[in-house]
Amino acid sequence: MGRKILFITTDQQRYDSLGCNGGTIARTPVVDGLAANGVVFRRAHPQNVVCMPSRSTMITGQNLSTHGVWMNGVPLPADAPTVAGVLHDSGYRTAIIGKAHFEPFLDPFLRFNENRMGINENVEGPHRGFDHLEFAAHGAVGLNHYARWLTREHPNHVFSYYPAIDIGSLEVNPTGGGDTDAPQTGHNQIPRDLYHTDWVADRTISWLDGLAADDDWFCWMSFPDPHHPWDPPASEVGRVNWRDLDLPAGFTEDIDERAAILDTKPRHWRKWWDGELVSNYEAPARWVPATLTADQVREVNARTHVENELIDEAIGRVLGAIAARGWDDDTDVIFTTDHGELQGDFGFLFKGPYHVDALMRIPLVWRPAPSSGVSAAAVEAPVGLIDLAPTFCEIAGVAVPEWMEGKPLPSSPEAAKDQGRERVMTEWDSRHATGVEVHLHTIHRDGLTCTTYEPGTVHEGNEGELYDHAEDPQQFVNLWDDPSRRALRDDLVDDLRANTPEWTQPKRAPQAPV
Amino acid sequence: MATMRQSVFIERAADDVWNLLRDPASVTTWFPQMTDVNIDGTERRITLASGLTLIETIVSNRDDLRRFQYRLTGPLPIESHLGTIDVIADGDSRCVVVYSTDVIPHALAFVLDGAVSDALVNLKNLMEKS
Repeated sequence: MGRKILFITTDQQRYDSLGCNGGTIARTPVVDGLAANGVVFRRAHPQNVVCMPSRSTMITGQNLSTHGVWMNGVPLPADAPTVAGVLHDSGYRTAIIGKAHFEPFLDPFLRFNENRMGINENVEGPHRGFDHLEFAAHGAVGLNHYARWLTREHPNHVFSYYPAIDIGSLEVNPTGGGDTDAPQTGHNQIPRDLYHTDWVADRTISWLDGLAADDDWFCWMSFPDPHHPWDPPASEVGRVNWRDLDLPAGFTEDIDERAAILDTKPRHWRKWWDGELVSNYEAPARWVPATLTADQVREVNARTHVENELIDEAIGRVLGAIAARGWDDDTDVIFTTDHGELQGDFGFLFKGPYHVDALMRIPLVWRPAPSSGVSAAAVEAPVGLIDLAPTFCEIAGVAVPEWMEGKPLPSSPEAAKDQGRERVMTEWDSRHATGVEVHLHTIHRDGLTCTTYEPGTVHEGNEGELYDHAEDPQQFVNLWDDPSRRALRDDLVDDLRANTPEWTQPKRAPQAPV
Repeated sequence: MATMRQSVFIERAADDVWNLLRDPASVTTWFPQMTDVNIDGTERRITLASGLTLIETIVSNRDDLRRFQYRLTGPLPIESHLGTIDVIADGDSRCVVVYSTDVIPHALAFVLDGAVSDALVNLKNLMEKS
């Protein structure tokens, strides 16, 4: 009998949202407890800041250039190698419960297997190495198991959720339904026990209950929150009163100062803020960020904190079920997310081609199985989500396949040093149906973030960003054109180019916007 | 308006391919996930495997140009759509099929174009084996 693995992901959660990472609003005692007894990574980055590419990296342990999922809407091939497959072939029972998003959601022709499984309520694999699959997304509409279950069992609550997609344009809905008219906020009358967060935990516990005591298992429990819409159950919203919140440090209340900060950055920042550019589908096309008010930022943050508390409590229930089976001592628990959320920083919500900490610095906590004897530690060295799949292999005692491109996560600062961890890379490519193209490559090293741009329809290819996190933790000051940093910038750019994975295959066409 | 284009070379004479495509009821034989079709004048209704029924208006069906055009009008939230299929000869026994999609809202462009790409693969397989 080997070590069991509970892999927990959320969607679009910031690093600073957890108590163990300095968060002071949401109460997250369960994840904080995992951190206190495990390894906390202080500088973990995704390899892309939107869902499908990032999740494809998690499941394959590969760079975007290898798995080929370069933007949302590009499906991960059904026969792509996965860590779940490796573990399955090694005798593990495997499941994914919650948000998968390896294939596009918008699929009226039902071209994609995960949508067919959802609409037919088929939970049986094998698919991508999983024996068992139950999917959920951000509400009650969609081709997934949760939506079908809610429609069948509680049809009166299907329309309790905020409509995340505007049915007329099929774009992210720009309207507000909360207290401040902030986009993607809503008063959701769904009872808490029917909300997707609790459903994911319930279904995970149900799957675990069906396992034999001596089974080895790998379960990816994937919460759709705190990704927008920000509409947690109304019964829970009172946990955090938005009127009581201080504004986040990344939100500058003076609109002229906010504009001045954006004007030091490559032009797509300001053009989005002014409502002059739609480069991607991950934010409402008809929402103008310059209209974002301080109270809207407060409300979005408050609702996000509530969602994070619900997730923490749901994880606590699952860990309780694991302990009740007597498995806790042999279970590794890894908690992370696919990417962050701007959540008011720079005057923005949502995500896009903006390689700053709001989107790139993500929570990552690994509580090794207590039986492994690994000591608690904090690792400052940069790591990536690309390192998760090899880590799962190592936990399971399985050789890391050559097709995985990450390295097992270090369990201590010393191990990180031994591995020679110096940098982590993140890339963005997008092509909107209107023809707008944006391309970014980023390196984080030595407390610095450096981003280069390739020619597209917005950029010439000579733009860049350089931030020194020690002196500018909010990344307000772009040092790219600072002559005193030129040598440093050149060194980082050389490092970035030397370590950017090369694309050797044509980029596959997107099959949907998301 | 989002505008997309897919194309495929087929090792069959243009007239052979056009003889299939010119029949609006043949779509279920080469376009994946389409299970039923009904034609009423210029209206074409296509039932998808998902249960959704697409409603279309046939705009043109020109033998002289080997061109078929249609507009998708519902139930997807279509503000504007034009699908154009051209069959162009490339010698006596080879042709290229060009399938263009112009659509608002933009969000549907990749969805329709992706389905078209599957359809052209199917069409090529169907024509080259028959």
